[in-house]
Amino acid sequence: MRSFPISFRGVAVVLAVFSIVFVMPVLATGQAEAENEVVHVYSHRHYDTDRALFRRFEELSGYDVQVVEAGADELIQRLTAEGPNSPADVLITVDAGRLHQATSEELLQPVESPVLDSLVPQHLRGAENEWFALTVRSRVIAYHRERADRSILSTYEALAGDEFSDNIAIRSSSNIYNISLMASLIEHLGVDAARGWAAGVTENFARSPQGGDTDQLRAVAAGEADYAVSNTYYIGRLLGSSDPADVEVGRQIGVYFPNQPGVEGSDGRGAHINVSGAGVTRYADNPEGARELIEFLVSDEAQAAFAQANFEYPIRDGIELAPEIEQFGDFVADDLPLYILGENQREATMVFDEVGWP
Amino acid sequence: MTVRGRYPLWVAAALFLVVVVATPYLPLAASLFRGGGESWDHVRSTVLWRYARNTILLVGGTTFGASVVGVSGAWILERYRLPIPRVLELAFVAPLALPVYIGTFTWNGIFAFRGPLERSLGLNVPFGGMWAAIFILVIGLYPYVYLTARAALSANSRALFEVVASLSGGGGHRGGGRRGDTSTPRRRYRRQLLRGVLPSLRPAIVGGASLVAMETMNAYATPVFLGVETLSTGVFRTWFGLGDLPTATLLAAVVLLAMLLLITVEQFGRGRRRYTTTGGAHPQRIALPGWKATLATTVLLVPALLGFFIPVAQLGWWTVLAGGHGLEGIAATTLRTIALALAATTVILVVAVLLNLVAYLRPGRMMQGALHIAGIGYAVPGTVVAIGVLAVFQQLRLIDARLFLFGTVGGLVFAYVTRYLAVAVQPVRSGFARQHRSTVDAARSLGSGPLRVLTRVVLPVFRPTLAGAALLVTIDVIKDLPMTLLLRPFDFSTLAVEVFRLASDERMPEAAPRALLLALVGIITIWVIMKPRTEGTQEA
Repeated sequence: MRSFPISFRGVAVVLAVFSIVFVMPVLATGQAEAENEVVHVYSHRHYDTDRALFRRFEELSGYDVQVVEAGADELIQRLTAEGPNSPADVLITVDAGRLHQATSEELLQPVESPVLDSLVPQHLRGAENEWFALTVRSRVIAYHRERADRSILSTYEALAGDEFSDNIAIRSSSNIYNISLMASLIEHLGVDAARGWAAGVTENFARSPQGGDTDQLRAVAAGEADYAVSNTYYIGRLLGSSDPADVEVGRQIGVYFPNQPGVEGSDGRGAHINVSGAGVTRYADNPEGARELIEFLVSDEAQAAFAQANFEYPIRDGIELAPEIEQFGDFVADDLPLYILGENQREATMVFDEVGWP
Repeated sequence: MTVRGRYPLWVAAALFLVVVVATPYLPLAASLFRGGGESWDHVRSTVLWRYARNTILLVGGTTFGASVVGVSGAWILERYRLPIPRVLELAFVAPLALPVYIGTFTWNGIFAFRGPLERSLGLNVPFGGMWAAIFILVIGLYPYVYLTARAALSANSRALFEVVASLSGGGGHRGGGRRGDTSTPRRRYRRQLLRGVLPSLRPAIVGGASLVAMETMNAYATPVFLGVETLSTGVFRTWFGLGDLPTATLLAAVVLLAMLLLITVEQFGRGRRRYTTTGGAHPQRIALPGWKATLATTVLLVPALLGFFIPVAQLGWWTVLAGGHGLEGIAATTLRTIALALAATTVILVVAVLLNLVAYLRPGRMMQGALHIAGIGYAVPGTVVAIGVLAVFQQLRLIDARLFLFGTVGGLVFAYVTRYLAVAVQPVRSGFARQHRSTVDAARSLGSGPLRVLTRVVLPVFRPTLAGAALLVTIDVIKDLPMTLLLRPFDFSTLAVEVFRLASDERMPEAAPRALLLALVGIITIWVIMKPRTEGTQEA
């Protein structure tokens, strides 16, 4: 405080601070650019696995990978605002709807790559190869291993029934995973039926939506509800947590994949899945490096890392799953084209608003 | 409007600064005239009322709670002689060092199944909804009111207390242990204190309380996580969920308008009264008998425990569990956090003092209005400001692949200024409001220019005020999340951003070491900045 800017000497201090903070980073970038070519990434995946994989890619390819991590919505806004001057080469999101949105706003470009063509299944990419899935996660029904009645579980649709009265824990409808689930229901059932479903589930809330998926699982363990809706990797993560309280929660949770074939009352279309995925930005300065990075992220090595360290499903068979996930067993996934999740997003949010699902 | 009269250059410079600072909000203002987008009818007929009702409850409850806690603390620490007052004050302000969203995630962990609360007390309470949101915001934000109220109280003169005491017909500096016949004068004394001292604190309390109100209005992570739908969460739901930017902007503008309205109503209520004091020495602190001292200490410690020490203990426990996992790069991140905060604070304080000086030298509606506009950005969600800043930079062609990093660190500081200027403007303004006009007039009549008046007359007097403002701004920038998240350059992160990365992924144990470090940086900042003022108090 003593050197506070209350004199002309203070002005000098201000200028000094300014020059340090503003000039130094500029010098630093100049050096970084001189060394290696850079792949600039905007990512919504906040996982340590990704950081390790980027370092590995740097070793293998000789590129530098530089990252900004933020929410996909915000990153898409940033891409839009930056326009042709955007420095980003790759956009990574944790939801297919966002990838579709980026595609329809012409923020991504089609990529021609025999490697990606052979490694990424057709239904897990954009229509014109604007994006490619990196990992798959399913939104499932979690139940308490002792208290819940597994025999009444069958489909997402059934969750609106009276058997589940005051017994479902599910998070807010602002969450993208719930919006995507609703978007798929709108596609399969039509808007009116989907609205009826949302109203029914809202009636069955054990408590007003709060917290993340993990908190819904904790609510089941704590006895507030016997059933919850959650993404698969959160359950795997509880089991692998460093906090013994979390492991205890995870052990009490069973996983049920809804809408499987051969189950009474089920249409057999499969459990709702979503992907995290990546695309090359339209104005990428380094489209080659961007393509190579995505090719690396779908390689066997990277896929195994996603599966083992982050409890996600790989995009193709033949990759070893984490044991915590493997025990859930095989399941049939809904093969709805994933861009539909993006197309129906607005309608899904409106349905939630109309039925008062907070 | 043409600028006439005294100091035309200064006034022009000040108005120019306000325009620059307010530029990112132009889209908001425009939306008021343009109206909502395609989803406006839907939003109005389904969720708007819920958003508005929850916002009023949340802002009202939080502001009231934070004001009661903050003013009580300021009063106790200023008036009574307690053991270890410096430690108590530091503890009482400590919650400032812990970002509200970290408090939210941490308390959620404390309340969680098999969490500490259940294991120790057998309590199994779901942590969510309105009560939880108000609880988290009150224990996280009351120091804003405390700091502004305390700065005003310590600047309040012995004379004021003595005038009040003489009016009540008894001495003000007695111990509280007398009984019997003195009860009536004592009650009168208290009444006079309420009438004499509290009103003189009004600008400061209102300044602090309006910071709390604005912070609550723009809070996002906490209400979303706890399941409280507010106008602020509605902005993002409308923007991203419904894909309707015009309606989202309109909602944000409504929040802004509500805040302006509140401020105007308060100004109207304050009327033409001007609160100045004569300065001078501090009154002596009153000693309290045993049990009352214990009570007063408890009143100070409970909010501190809830807002800082209990969450920090939980973070410590998580850190132990995580076993020092993933700490690489933490030193560089910490240094960057501090450098960024210092740069932004310097710029913000200079701007805040300049604007207030001009407003002081040239009283009138124009500059008062300009000050309001300069201070309003705090009520807008950070992401909205960030997008506004990006739009400005895009228009000015400042986003360039080569200039990018410069553009963005510059953009980041610019964004901090537009958003956190309010935090500095409010306390500096209440400092000017307590300034003795006669001294300044004397200096001016002797031919001193504005800069000389500023450095020789004004600033030496309200060093505590400036220290308080610096503290609030630095801490706010250190904690800033949404703007840093979005506007930062590649591979450039702060502690807050790193914590959020893990916390938003529901991995608090892994986020804990960085959250602890963030709290530590915050508490050291508080200690460094508060030191001179506490020393000054002791000298007196």
